[in-house]
Amino acid sequence: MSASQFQALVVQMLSASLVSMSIFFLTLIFSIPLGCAVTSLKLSRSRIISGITNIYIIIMRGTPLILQLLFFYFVPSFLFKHAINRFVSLIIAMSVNYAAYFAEIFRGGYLSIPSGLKEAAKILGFSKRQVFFSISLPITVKRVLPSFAGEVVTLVKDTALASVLGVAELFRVAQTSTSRMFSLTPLVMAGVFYFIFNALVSEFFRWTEKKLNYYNF
Amino acid sequence: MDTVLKVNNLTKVFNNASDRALDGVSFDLKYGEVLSIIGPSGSGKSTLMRCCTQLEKPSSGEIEVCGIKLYQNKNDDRAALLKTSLVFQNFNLFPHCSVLKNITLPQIKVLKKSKEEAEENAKELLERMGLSDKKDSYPCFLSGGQQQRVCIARSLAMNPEIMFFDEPTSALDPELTKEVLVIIKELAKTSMTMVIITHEMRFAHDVSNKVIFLDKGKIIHSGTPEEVMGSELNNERIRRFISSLDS
Repeated sequence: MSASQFQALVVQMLSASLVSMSIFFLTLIFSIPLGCAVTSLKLSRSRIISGITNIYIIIMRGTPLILQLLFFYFVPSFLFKHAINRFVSLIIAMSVNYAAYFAEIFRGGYLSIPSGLKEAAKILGFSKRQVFFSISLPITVKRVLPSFAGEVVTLVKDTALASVLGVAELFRVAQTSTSRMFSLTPLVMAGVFYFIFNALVSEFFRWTEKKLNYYNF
Repeated sequence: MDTVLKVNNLTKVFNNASDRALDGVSFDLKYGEVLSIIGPSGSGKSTLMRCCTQLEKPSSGEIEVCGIKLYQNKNDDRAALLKTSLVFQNFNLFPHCSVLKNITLPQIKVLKKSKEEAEENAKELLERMGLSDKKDSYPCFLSGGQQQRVCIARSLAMNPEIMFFDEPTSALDPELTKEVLVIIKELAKTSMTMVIITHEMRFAHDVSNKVIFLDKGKIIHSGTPEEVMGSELNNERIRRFISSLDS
């Protein structure tokens, strides 16, 4: 590999890693609020609502993400005879999938709060809203952080699945460069990128957990 | 003297339960009186308290808090809620808030007090509880006795008319129990109207004007501490219960 080839490869890989990072951040931005909404639907007193929500969660967690990515991409073209932007369908599919996982993590954390705590707040005169925002939410955040962090680390690696739609993210570019240049370098570079990115993500969560460590509960 | 708590023919049946948790309970309490509720586990003591503090809706019967009938409309219920306060067996302090914030947060959120006003009030109460040096600690770093005293301070900060205590010392060892009971006795001297569920017979005898013995959801005896717990008592059930506590 000549120096100019290598330089071109680095530039290509860098721009591809930007695509991977935008998949990561966009999915997070959409799936977290969506996950909260799914949690509240699943906790709904209406059996129909919580039942439907449960079916959604079972399907999202029970089928491969790579299949869902293709499904979300192809369904609009079959239904409306109109192709949808790949990147848009990718972000929708990833967000809808991750929302299901996040929802179950959030629900577990929320339900682990002893009911006595909410009763105490209620007796002191807190409204339901105040109980949620002043008491339940901060405690839930602390409780779900470790399992949430694990899921986010997985998300970093799952961005590579976007290659199945031909989105030019890091894995796809590494794969095609490897075969084109007959060199392992692109794959190794991609591996190093994912590794460093995840190290940063883990470090961020370690720091956040430490910040919230001023109390035990 | 004014009646601040009136309970009339209260009945509670839980879903899927065949037995009545409360079965026709009636009593009333005047301003400044201290009522102790004693009786075995599962006799309905906590359920009675939870009905009075609106944590549990009774199946039938009436409760009146400071002249306000409960469970008639939301506004009345809310007004009555602010007149009652409950101290739990397991404290239920907000774990993510410092001691000071545990006491100020409800004042700010519910009573709409300013932060300064709430803090001043909280510091005063903490001094009364002998906990001034703990104001910046978090509940997890306090002993059970200290946590319970913070809990009492948090309740008092809301200026309730009636304080309910649901086995306030059951989670504490004898030494810590003593420090909490001392506080409750001090409160009794300030004419705070209180309802206390307890297994501390000596304490119940000393602090209360009235004692109710509850068994299987029914009041089987009520009266002055001497009448209910006195040695001349001829009620076999109560004698058996009290002597089992002594052993």
